[in-house]
Amino acid sequence: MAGTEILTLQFLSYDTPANTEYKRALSKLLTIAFCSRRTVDVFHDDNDARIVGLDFTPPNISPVGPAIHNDFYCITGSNIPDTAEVVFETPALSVAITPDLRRPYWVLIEQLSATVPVGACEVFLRAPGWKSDRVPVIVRSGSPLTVRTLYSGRPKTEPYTFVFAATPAIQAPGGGLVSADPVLTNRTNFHDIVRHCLANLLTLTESLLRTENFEANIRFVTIFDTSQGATTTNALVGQVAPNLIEPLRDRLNGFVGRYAENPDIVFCITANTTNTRASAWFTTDDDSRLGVNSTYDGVTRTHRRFTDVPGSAAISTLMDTTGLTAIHEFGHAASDFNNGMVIDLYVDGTRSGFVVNKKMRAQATDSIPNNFATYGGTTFQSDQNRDGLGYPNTWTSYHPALVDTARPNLMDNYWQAVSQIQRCRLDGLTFNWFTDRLRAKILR
Amino acid sequence: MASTTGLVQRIYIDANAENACVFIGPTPANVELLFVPRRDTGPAHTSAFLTSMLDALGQALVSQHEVIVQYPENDGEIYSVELR
Repeated sequence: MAGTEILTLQFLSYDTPANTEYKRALSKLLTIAFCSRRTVDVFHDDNDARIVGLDFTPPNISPVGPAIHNDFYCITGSNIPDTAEVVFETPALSVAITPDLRRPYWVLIEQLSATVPVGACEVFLRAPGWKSDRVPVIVRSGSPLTVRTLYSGRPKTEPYTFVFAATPAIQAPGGGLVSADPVLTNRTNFHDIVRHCLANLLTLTESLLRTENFEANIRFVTIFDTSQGATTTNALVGQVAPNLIEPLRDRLNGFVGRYAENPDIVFCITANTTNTRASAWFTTDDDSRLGVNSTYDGVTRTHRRFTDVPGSAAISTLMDTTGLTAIHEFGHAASDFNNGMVIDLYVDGTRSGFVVNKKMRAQATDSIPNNFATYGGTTFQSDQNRDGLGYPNTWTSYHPALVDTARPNLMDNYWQAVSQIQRCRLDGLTFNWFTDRLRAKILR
Repeated sequence: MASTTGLVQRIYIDANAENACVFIGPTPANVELLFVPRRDTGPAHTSAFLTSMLDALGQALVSQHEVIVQYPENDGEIYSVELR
């Protein structure tokens, strides 16, 4: 109590009802501050101890959600050093944890260690020569959250939302039997694959989601609900012979809607042991809402700002994590059935409709045109050599020129890269097209 | 109707102001400034409702819960609070 100052909050008989209510609000906020050990500035007139206002002094970091053992734990801030560690401190103990993902505005701990003591403590970030403000938090054990926001995204109406959902069930090939998906029995693996996907999306050489700081405006949410049974409506993925899994896109709005989510992208996480090869479906934009026009080969196209059916991918906790699966599947999922599809380049076929990143020649013996397409007034050349892998002589398809000509396109067979697979990038046309599309959506 | 989703980063309330300022966003430096008005006139239940929204926003601030607040388009006056 030393160093304190006595101030008063006076409820007076002649106060108007509105004044009484205002003072009640001040009283409640002061109580909240006291109980949570948060610092406040209180205002009073000179030579008068009566409180007339208060300000919750904002620290320069912000924990996201409650601190629960074995759950995700995230802290946001600004210009966070890439060497920052998270420190939990009580008067008796200090526990430093290395985040599993660091971004300049955000750090993520995959599962909060039980070495952090339960109860009241202060959390802060620390790096050599730098330390954030301290924030009082309560650490608890017990069940992790069913729905957890990892990062809340752009503070606007309907932020671009990316959901990672553990699928409660999986459907056999051809719409067959539904059975429980083992992912709900292994929360640790779910957390690990979510962390991997985020790192794959945000930290590799391909800078699509770092462009224009898109990443800091995306809302990331996880759903892991062990109370959900193995029902058809809960089967978010289906098996496709021989080893593929596909997202069952028509069920996604119904499933995530139970958790009051309305995402643009859903990654459905499965732990099926036989079907582990990821696949994706394009978004269906909401064509009834606003969009941003652009031209592709002289045709006006629209990047719609909002989503009707989210783009989706089925991702296995058992997948090979040395590649680019997450960002590759995002490349499909974030494109659109009607307003532009980004498709695989490692097969010769194409799809009907507007395909952004692949064109077809009449015959395989025809030469590849120098210019692939004109997008937004810029002409993009063709890739004459298909990533250096070469077009098989029976193929009629061809691709836009690469950004990094030393490695395959990340929508192609990037596993063929001679080295450093995770450095593969998109082609220039698709990168520009996606930048415009994601700007329309993420900055809507 | 417009809405903002995020963490309550800061609440500022002053008798000399007509509103309580509420700062909502993903980080302390990336926020939307909205407000809960004071009603010097009007029925008691309206003032009580506004106080209850401030109470909820204060609880969300210290517990780091995400909120969704709603307000009219082209206005920042919060009329609903949802805690996530």
